[in-house]
Amino acid sequence: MNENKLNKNLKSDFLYDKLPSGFISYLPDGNILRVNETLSKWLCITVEEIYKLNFKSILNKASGLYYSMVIDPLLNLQSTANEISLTFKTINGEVDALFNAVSYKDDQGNLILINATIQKITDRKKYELALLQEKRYADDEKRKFEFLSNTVPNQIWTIAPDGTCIYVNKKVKDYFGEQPMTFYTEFSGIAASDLERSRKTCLETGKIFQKEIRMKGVSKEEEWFFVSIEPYFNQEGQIESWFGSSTNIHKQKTLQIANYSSLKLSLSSANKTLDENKQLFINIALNQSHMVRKPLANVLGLLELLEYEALPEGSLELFKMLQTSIKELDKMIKVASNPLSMPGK
Amino acid sequence: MNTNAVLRNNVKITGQGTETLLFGHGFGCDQNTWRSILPAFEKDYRLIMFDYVGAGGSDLTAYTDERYSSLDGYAQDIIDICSELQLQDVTFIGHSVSSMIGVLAIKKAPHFFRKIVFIGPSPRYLNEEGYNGGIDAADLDDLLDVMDSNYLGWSGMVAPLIMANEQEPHLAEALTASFCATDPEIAKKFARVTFMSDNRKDLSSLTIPSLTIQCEEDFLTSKEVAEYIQQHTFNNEVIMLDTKGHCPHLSDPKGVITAIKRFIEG
Repeated sequence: MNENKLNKNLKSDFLYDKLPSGFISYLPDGNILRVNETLSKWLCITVEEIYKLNFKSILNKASGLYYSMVIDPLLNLQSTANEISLTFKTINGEVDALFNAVSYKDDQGNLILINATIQKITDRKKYELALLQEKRYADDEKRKFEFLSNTVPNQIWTIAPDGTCIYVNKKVKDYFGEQPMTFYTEFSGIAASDLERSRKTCLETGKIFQKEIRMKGVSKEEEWFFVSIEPYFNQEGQIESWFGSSTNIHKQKTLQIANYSSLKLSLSSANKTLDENKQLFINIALNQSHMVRKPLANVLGLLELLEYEALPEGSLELFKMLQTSIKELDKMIKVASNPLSMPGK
Repeated sequence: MNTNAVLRNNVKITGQGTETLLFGHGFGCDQNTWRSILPAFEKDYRLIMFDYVGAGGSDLTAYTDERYSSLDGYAQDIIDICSELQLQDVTFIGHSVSSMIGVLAIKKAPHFFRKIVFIGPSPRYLNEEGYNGGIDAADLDDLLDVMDSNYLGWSGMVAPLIMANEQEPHLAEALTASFCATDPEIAKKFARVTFMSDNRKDLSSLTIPSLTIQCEEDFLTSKEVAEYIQQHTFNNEVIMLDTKGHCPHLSDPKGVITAIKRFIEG
C-alpha cells in the first residue's frame, strides 16, 4: 500500500474496517482471526466478542447446516465459493447476506485460511423471497399438472418448441417402460410405418396434429392410438410448448378394420350373385326366345306363302295388319332373346 | 437412462490391491470428497468410488421420486454396483448419510460386505423426546429455504473464478467445475429424505464389525449420537478425532486414514 498517499488522520486499518461490506478471516475449524467493524456493527457484537466465537456459531441454524454440508467441503475442494445466501445471527435478530469466500492452502494442499466478504442484502432478500414464493407457486402448479395428468387415462406429454420432449406422464412410462427423454424426442415409440408422416407434420407446420397412428410399447406389439398435439401460445403469441395426448383406440380400430373387411367381402359376394343371376337370366331368355321363335318362324313362313295366294279383296287389309304385327312380334322376340342389347343394359 | 449401475452411478475404480474399499459420499458433495484420503489406500486396496443418482457425474435421468423417496433407493444403488462388479468382502466407507445408506445395503444384501466405516454418522437427525438428533423440524424447513435461496447460485459455486492451478488454469477449471455438482432439485429432495430418515432400528441388524469416526465439534451430529450408535450396534468402535466440522476426511485426512487402516487391517 502506498502509505505516502494516506492522509495523516487515516490509519491503514481504517480503510478495511469501514468497508461498505463485512469482512472476516477464519481458520478451517471456524476460529475467527479477524473481522472488520462493518460486520461487527451488523452483528451488533464487538469485534473482541466475535473473536471468541466460531464462524458457524454466528450463522443461524439452517445456514450453519448448509455451510457444514455444502460450503465447508466445497472450500476444501476448490478455492472459492461465490454468492452464497446465508443468514447471520445478531443480538436483535438476523441479517441476510451474500457470502463470497476464498480459501488458501499450504504446500501439502491442506486448507489453512478462509477470507470472506459478507454483503448485507436485507432489502434484496425481500425481493428474493417474493421470487421464491413465485417459484414455489409455479412448482406447486407443475406438481398439480403432473398429478392431474397422471389421473387421466390418456398418455400426456409436453414438448418444447424445438421438439425436445420435456414431460411424460405415468401412463406413457407404463406403456413404453423406463426410457430417457431422448426416446420420446426422437419419436422412438412410433411404429416405423407411421414415423415419417408423424414427423413431417405438426412441429414443422405449427398446426394442430390429429392422427391415428401405430405405436409400439413394452409389449412390442403395434397398437393404434389417436394422437392429438396442440400448440400452447404464450402472451406474445409465440408457441411456448406443445401439449400432446394419445388414446389407445386399438380395439375400436381393429374392429373398424374388421368391419370394413367384412363389408368388402359382402359386397364382393353380392356382386358375384348378381353376375350369376344375370347369366341365368340370359340363359333363360335365350331358351325362352328359342321356344317362341320356332312357332313364330312357322307363322312367318305361312305369311310368305299367303302373299302368293289370291286373297279376297276384303281380307287384304287384314292380311297386311297381320303381317305388320307378326314382324313387330319377331323384332320383340329378337330383343328379348338378347337381354344385353336392351336399353339401359 | 442407464440401467447399467457402473454408468448410472459414475463408478470409478482405482488402486492396486485386491481387497475392496467402496466409498459412499455424503449429502452436498460427490465422489470428489474422497480425494484427500484415497492416495493412502491406492497401493494396497482396490478403491471404488461412485456418485449417488443426482450428484456429480451420475445419470440424472435415472432419478425417480419413486425409487429415491427413501434411503432404500440409494442403498439399492450400492447393491447394484456390488452385484454388477461381482464384489465380495467389501469394506464400505460412508460419509454422513451414506453411513446409514450403507447399513441399509448390508441389511438387504449382507453377502457383499465384510466391514463398514461410518464418518460423521447419524441414525436420525431430528430431535424427539428422549433422543437428541440435533435438528428440529423447523430447522429442516429453514434449511430447505436456504437451499432454495442458493438455487441460482449453485452453478456459480461449482465453477470458481479463481483457479487453484495458475499454471494451467484450463485444466484446473475442468477439474474444479465438477466438484460437488449436484442437481439442486434433487439435492433438495435428498436433503428431505436424509433429514426425515430414522434408521435407529436398523442398527441392530448390523452383524459385521463397524467403526464410527466422529469429530469433536460437528454441526450435524455429535459425540452423543456416536455413543447412541455404539450402544445399539453389535461390535461398533468409536474413534473421536480432535478436529472440528462434518468432513474430517477433508479437514483431518491423516486422522481418518489412520483410523480406517487400523480398523480394516486389525
